Amino acid sequence: MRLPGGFTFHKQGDPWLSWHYITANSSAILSATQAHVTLTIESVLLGLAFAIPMAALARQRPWLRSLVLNLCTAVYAIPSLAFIVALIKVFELNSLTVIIPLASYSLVILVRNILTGLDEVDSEAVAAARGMGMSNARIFAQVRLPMALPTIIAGVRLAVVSTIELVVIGGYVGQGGYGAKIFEGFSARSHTELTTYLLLTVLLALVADALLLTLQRLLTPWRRGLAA
Amino acid sequence: MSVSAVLPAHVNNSTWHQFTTWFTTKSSWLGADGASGVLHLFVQHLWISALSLAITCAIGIPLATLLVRWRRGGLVVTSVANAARSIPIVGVMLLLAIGPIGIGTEPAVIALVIFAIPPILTNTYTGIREVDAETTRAAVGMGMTRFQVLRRVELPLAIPLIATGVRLAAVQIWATATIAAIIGSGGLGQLITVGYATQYYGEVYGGVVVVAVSAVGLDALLQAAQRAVRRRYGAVAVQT
Repeated sequence: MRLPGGFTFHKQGDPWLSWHYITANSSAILSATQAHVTLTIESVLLGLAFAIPMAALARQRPWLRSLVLNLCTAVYAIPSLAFIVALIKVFELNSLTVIIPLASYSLVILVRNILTGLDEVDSEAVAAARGMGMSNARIFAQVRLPMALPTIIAGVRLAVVSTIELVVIGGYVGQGGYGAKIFEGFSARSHTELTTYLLLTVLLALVADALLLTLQRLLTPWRRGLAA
Repeated sequence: MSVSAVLPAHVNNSTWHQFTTWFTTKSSWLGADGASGVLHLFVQHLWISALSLAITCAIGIPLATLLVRWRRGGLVVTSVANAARSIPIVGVMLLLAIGPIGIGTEPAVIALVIFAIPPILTNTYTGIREVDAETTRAAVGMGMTRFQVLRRVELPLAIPLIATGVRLAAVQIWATATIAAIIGSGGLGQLITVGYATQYYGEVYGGVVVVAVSAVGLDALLQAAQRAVRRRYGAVAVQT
């Protein structure tokens, strides 16, 4: 059935899933994957770049701590559609339109985990390092940070998985890797395109989660054998 | 006005002018000539959110009480929470909208409910699980039936955590209901989608402000309500 305006409601040969679609569009899938992964990594890295100093600041005073945590929660409450569309006029087609909101959302997870990780560092280990004559900066880099690493990476894992999911909304403004394809599938009423990229998003989140879990094990060899 | 001077060059005076004009025009708030104003969209947003929250509670809380009785319940709860975190809600809404249900309020409510179940499920489950075993045993010793123990001991003691779950679900539903405007459910997000489609940025930014303020405001309001619940029912709730 064809409707005015080019909308087709029921198309022949538009199944919910098709292996043929995947093989026929492998290069498009590959470039969308690349775009999606790039946006995710850039967002989480920008988030980390802000989260580490914010966590360090929050540890100074109790009131700073609650201020930083409340700020992160408040930012997280801003709906993603509003945040992204608000930036489209400022950055236009620059990917910062999507990266800035996603980095801001990742803060709520990252800051909290970095803080928890640093809080849990054994004070005796820090005292021992100080006794060995280490400076505060060296203690931070060689004792506190490595000991907080499992909790920090756990936060990065959560942030990456939720960012992969959030990137999709970028498709509304023509960005967002898989998101752009999902919105394209929606406008074209193409079941195959929409479901394929929706499943790819979930798959990417699962793969990223598994990879980061492996990375966490590799970076913290002393914890191997302990319960995860 | 000096505010426009600190904004980047593309955000020119005309955008700022559109924004202030939108804000000071009565029809943007009350609606006119078939176009919906903020008031109407707010009521619509409230209706969609309240309906979704009610359905979520009606499914999530009983489900959690059943899962507590089951040995593998904990695994189900964590799996549901993990699955929901990796599935993009926008994608699910768009999928439902081109499916047999079509666009409108129904696919929006379905998607909102699916994604709001995990916080309520996790918190209710944990809340009931953390009730002291001795307390329930004492209740059984007093001759209470299983259902009485649940209704008069376990659920009341789990209230602080259930309240946390409901708050998280409510904030998430309110924020996500904005996205539902893309599939024609109405609500406050419509200010953004309509403004963006017609390139009328005054309305877009008006919508952004209304949406963000209402979301952050609801979050603050519910946190205050939760503190009141905690004072009333004692126990400390776990933040998730």
